Amino acid sequence: MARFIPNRTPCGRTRREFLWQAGGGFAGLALTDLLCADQQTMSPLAEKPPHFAAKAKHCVFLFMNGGPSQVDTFDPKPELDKHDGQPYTGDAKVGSNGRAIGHLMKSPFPFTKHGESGLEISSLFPHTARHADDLCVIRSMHADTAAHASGCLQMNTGSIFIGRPSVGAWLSYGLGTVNQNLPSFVVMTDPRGGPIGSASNWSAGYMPAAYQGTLFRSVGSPLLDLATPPGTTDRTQRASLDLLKSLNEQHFLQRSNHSELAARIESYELAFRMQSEAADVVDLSRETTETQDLYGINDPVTADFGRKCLITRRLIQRGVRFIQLYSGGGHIEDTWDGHNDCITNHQTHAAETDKPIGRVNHRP
Amino acid sequence: MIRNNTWFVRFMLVAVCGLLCTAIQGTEPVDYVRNIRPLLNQRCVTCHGALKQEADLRLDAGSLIPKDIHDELLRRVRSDDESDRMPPEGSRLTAGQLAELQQWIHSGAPYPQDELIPTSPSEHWSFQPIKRPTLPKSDHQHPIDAFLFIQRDLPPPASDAALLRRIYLDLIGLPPTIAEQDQFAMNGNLNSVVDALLDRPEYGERWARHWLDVARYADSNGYERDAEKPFVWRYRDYVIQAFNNDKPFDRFAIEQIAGDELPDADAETTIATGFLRLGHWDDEPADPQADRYDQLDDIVSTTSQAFLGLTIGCARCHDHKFEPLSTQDYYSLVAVFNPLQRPQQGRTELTVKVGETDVYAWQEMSATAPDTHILIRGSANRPGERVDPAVPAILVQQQPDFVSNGNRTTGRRLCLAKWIASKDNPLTARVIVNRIWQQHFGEGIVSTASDFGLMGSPPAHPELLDYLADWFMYDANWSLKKLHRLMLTSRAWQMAKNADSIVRYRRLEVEAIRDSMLAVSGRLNSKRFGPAFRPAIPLAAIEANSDKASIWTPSEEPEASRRSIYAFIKRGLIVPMFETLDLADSVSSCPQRQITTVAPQALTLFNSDFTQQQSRAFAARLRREAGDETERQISLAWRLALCREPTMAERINVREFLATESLDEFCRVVLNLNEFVYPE
Repeated sequence: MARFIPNRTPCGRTRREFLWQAGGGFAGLALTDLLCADQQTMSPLAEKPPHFAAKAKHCVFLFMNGGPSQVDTFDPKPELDKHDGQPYTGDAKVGSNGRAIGHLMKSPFPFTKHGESGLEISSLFPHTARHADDLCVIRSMHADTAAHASGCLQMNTGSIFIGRPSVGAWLSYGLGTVNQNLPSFVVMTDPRGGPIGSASNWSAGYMPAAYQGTLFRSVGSPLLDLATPPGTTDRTQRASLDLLKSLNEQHFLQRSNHSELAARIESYELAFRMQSEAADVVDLSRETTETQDLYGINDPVTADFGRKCLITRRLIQRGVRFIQLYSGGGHIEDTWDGHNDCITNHQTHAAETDKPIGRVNHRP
Repeated sequence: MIRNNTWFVRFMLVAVCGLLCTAIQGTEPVDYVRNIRPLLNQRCVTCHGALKQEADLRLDAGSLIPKDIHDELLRRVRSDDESDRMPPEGSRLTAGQLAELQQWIHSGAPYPQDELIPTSPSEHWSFQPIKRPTLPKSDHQHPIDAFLFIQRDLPPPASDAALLRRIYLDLIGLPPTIAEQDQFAMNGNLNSVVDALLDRPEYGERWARHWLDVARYADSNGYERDAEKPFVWRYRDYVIQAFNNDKPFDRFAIEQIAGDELPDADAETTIATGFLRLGHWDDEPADPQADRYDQLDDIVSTTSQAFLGLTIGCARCHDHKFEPLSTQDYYSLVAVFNPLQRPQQGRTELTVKVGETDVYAWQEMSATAPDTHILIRGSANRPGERVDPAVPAILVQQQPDFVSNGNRTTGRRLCLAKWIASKDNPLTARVIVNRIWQQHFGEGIVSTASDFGLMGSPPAHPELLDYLADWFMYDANWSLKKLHRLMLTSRAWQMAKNADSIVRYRRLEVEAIRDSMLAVSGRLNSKRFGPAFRPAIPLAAIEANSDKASIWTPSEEPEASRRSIYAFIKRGLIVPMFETLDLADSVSSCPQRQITTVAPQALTLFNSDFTQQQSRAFAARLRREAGDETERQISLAWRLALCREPTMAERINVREFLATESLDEFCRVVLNLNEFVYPE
């Protein structure tokens, strides 16, 4: 009796199993082949061709954490101007956590039309506005929640619940990465702190952790545990890796049909290459002063986000697939959450980010 | 005459077929197996197949499609009336598909005469009663070997040293000490080693973690505040003790689902029901009504996956597309748990007091259950028909009687639990026996450990699985220790590993890697039970949190060197080493750890502070225990970490290295060896 084999379910775990097995091993090759050959075949992050020819090869996700007010940035509401100062009388449920609902308030930031398209952008983003014709503004976006944690999750994973893969994780899974010496999916948070829910926002959810976002720091050692331990010289680090490799290869010779062992040997070499390549990415001294100024790196207000945007450009040049930058983090006033004083809040954060964003959008 | 006629018809068919093909594809004629069956399977069989037969119609085998519906079938798929057109959901069939279907029907709807009719889901293997198969005729004494090798010679066993390390890592998650290695070398009896290890408290600390994966255990709720679940560690300790005391699995299941409803309920059995409250929880839900059903869904989905291997969660919004599970089945299970209330005051979670003990569990406040309705499309504000508690209909001839036996609670969970733990349940014993097999052998007899449904993998050895399940219930009285012993004494488990061996080559879980490092370095703190400790988290990972100043206070030594099962699992901030090395997903039930091999793991294991500390301690231990002589240090390192003497080639390698580099560095290399994390 043949087994009834229906279509593969989108709900069960068979897909997950498949996901991982797709990156799984092959056997029967000789040691030299395995160690020298295209190691990508074994990596869960091996580059995979898309099903359709794609125009975009990379994605930069600028996450203005805390939630900039849409009516003060890209979505002018002339009716608000008319009802400025009046109490809210609508039916929609507004306000969260039982907070009192205030009065209607017109935007304190004037809107002007930009570019040939005449896209309306507020005075908060003069640099970004120069790229009006390259922007696609979606004004219909809304969330299923008024809370930050679940809202951030929905923005990143499509669901207000924890445990789902983020969009960057999906891209890493689906397309792999071009440059195995750098992470496929990079996340840079604000020095004041990360978003609420932190790592759930760049999680791989139920997929292998290999697809999750990797935290990247714009100063110091960019990746977790990337640096050679203090007190260990580079020469010793290399000597230790060589001993490890040599012992592992002797072990592997008797077990050459276990490709996972070869993959693990290679992962140490990859980590070593990552050490130099990642350090090189954050070394902005290689950029001209002119470039640094264009990103606002030498101005204390824009320095942090400017560094991140310039590093983003350098990551893209090296093949990184997906980069997410956070502006704002930590306490309410350190994020774009304009609960208390929207004017100061938005002016502060826009000033920190507009110039670098304008530059990273720049078409050479 | 007749013969001529037939020839004529055949000729006509070929001619028509040829014409149509030119029109449609220009090349090949439409083929049922290649073109039609996949189309029917993809678009029609969900409602017209073995699972469901709407309008009493099945389209999942050629012989089942009556000739007299051919015209109607074509009319309905072509219809311009949306309420009439098939399939009712999704896009219309394409012009090409319509033409192919027409051509196939016009050519007489041929299908291969040997096509098998898919079986009814009620005939699915795992829904059948467990019957003990007779042992195959075999010279092998051990029943597992008799099933697997029948008349073949047994494969050679692994070396004694390799087996000793394998048994230790498998059963207690730690390598054998030098004294234990010496003792085994003197009077090597593997069976007595197995017995001794099963009696050690470290056994529970190792095996409880496997169950915690299935139970989606974490110490916090996730979301904005990601608050600690108060006293949830008592559930973790309960599981460890259940394994160590060899609590019969049927009782273990009952306690976790309904320990508070038992006649002999006490603090321990109530702690067990923490199982139901381990899920993630948003203390500030977007929609409180929907949130209530999300919490119930977490309970229903986890319980059915963990004990029954059923993915019933998919039937929340619609009848399961691929399993014989309906929304009625799903909400009948929701009705079992609907009386539960989360003790809370605003956003703050409260505990239940049982005597003096604070217990993290749900509570039933009365013997009267609230009404439960099917929710149309899963929407909390669209209640449909009212449902009574019931178990999935496909699994029973007669529903168990859901009656209250007291006036404290509804008794619904106890009734469900008793049915789950009953010897008549076709799934429970198979599922747990397979989980245990999976942990020992690296891959389950059913490779989808939490999915025994139609979509799950079929068992590689159905008879062996049923033998084990039956043996487990009737001979072992649900004793997991007896089951371990049976599996570990088989040659199938003791054989030397190779690419085809039944026992798989598989990397250790992160807990066993970390614990082994601590054991080898001599720093392991064996303190048991109680509140979780917090391993150090590098600053770079802390920085990415909204409350970075207060989110994590690492434990001091020696607390920080406890076994990994006691480490705090914070859903919003998983310890990077744990996460990188493929810790179980902490949000939903995890049937088996994934094993990935990526560079960040190498960075963590080679460069992290934790590794530096263990390397230094390991080196100090070598100096302490082996003196200053290099050769003795190398030998001791190999025996502690790998349970064997180094080969000559390895010795030469290491000697050269130590001529210029330090013993600390050498120890760092040893802790990173493939052999250290891939047991033979």
